[in-house]
Parts: sequence; C-alpha cells; structure tokens
Amino acid sequence: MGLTTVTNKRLGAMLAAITGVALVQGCGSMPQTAEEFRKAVPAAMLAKTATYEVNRSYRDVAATFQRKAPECLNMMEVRTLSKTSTSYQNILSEFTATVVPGAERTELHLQQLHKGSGVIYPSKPPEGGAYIVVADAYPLPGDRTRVQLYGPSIGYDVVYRAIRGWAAGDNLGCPDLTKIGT
Amino acid sequence: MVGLALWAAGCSALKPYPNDLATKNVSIRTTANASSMFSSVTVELDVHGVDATSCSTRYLGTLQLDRAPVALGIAPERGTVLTFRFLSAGFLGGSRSSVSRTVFIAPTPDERYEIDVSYRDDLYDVVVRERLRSGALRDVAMVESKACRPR
Repeated sequence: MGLTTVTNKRLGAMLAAITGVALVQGCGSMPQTAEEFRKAVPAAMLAKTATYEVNRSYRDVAATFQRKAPECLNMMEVRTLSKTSTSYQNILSEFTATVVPGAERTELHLQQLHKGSGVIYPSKPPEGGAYIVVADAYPLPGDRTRVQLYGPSIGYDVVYRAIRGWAAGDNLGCPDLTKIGT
Repeated sequence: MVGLALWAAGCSALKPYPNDLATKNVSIRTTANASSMFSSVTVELDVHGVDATSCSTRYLGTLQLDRAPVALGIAPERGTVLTFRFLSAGFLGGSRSSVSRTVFIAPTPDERYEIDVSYRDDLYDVVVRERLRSGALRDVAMVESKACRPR
C-alpha cells in the first residue's frame, strides 16, 4: 500500500471526475452495493459500461485480480490540491479495493471516500466510500475470459488500463491514482 | 550560490545513501517515461534499515534511479525497506504528484537480487527477482515492511 500525494492538480479535470461519481447516483440515494452500482451506471450521465475479452483463463484472471487489486488500489491517502486565480480546493481521498471470487464471476470493486469538507456528498455513501469502478470477470470457453466494466466515462482511464493489463496478463503495473481526473 | 545550496540542503530531509558496502547484492534497472511531452517522471529510492529486534526502521539515505542500472549494497541478514518513489511533474500548470511502492527485503549473504522498476503510461511496477546460482531468475513475491517479525 502506497502513500500518495497530489499537488496542484487541474481543478476542472478533478471536478469532472467527482461529478461523474455524483451523477451516477441520479436523484436518489447513492448506490450502497456493487449490484446497485451496476444497475445505476447504464442510466447515469458521465458513466459507462464496457466489455472486452482476453485470451487468458478465468482462473488466472481471477488470481491476478486477487493479487493486484489490494496491492495497487488500496490507498490510504490521496490528497488533491487544486487552485485557480479565484479558488482553492483540498480533497483527501481513500481508495478501497475488494475482490469477490466465485465460480461463475469474479468481481473487482473500487470505492473512493472523500474526506474532509472538500467534497459534499448529496447522500450517505456506503461503508468504504462511493463505488467508482466495478469490473466483473466471466469464464468463456476455450480458456478465455470476458470482462465487464462499470464506471465513470471520464477521469478513470488509468484504472481501466490497469485492470485490462491485469486481465490480459501483459501488464501488471499499478495505476497512478494521482492521475485520476487528468 | 554556495550559501543558497547549503540552505537548500539543510532544509531537505533527504540525504544520499552511502552505498558503501563492498558487496553489491541488489541490481536495479529503471525505466521511467512520462505519459506526455508536457510532463516528466523521476524515480527515487529511499533505503531504510530495519532493527531485527523491534522491526523499527531507520532512514539510511536516498538514491536517484536513472536509466543506468544501479548496483546497490544492502546489509545481509538484516531487513531493509526499499521505498520506490515515482515523482511526476507537469510543465503546464505546475502540477506535481508522487506515488510509492515499498518492499521489505532481507537477503542472506550469498543471495543476489535484481529489481526492475518501471513507470510507463501512468502505470508503475516494481518486480523483484532472485538471481540463482544456476543463473536463472526466480520471481520473489513482494513483501511489505509489516511482514517483519521481531526476534
């Protein structure tokens, strides 16, 4: 688990990512479970679903998710400082990754909790923070695996690329979470 | 200018790692590429000695990891915590950020390690391998510093 610090990030890009999180909720309460998040994403603004397949066995993909997600995505503190000529913002975030293995599906959940007064939640977030990304791996015939992604349509490309690298097995690097929103 | 340099050195908490052990038992190769032409990435390594009886750590120094391989000597039989810090800087808007990976390593006197450090397209990785006597490389699972157990 790494301690990361961000300074002087572009305000607009970070607000876009945060807006993406907020708008997933719609006008109701924030998704409290991964399943509620999956159902909310297709209808939400600034959110997307995506699907791809990899030439790698489901067992290996699941094992990589279980190894890399806690190693790379459990971040205790990511601080973002954004400033313009007229405003200043200090956001402290905590990321939590959970992997739920199963015979039919392996789930990877990423939650983000903004601490302090830099971000105001319109409703109570779930334990561990708002669901940001959910990635589900499904077995396919011929030792292949399908991955279904749910999450913001902007600002989280580095996370999506890391997950794809883990699934394909060709890049086991960790996403630089300080680049979220850029 | 000399006064300014001394003032800057005194204000910084970092000091160069002496790397004065005769046996260099760790080889580090680094690849660091920024994701755009408007930013840069540098990699630094903080070396911390671990007290075997208490598992407390003591900062020993910092090395700059550039593209050339670095031969590092760390004390055998005692634990060492290596913290790899990836420092990004944007030329436009003055953005700065850092991420880090920490590895706990306790080599025996005849063990040799090779570490590949990379930062590419905003993805970073630290891979630790042991060079066996046969010449083959064996992957070593990343161990965090909390794995230390007091004797």
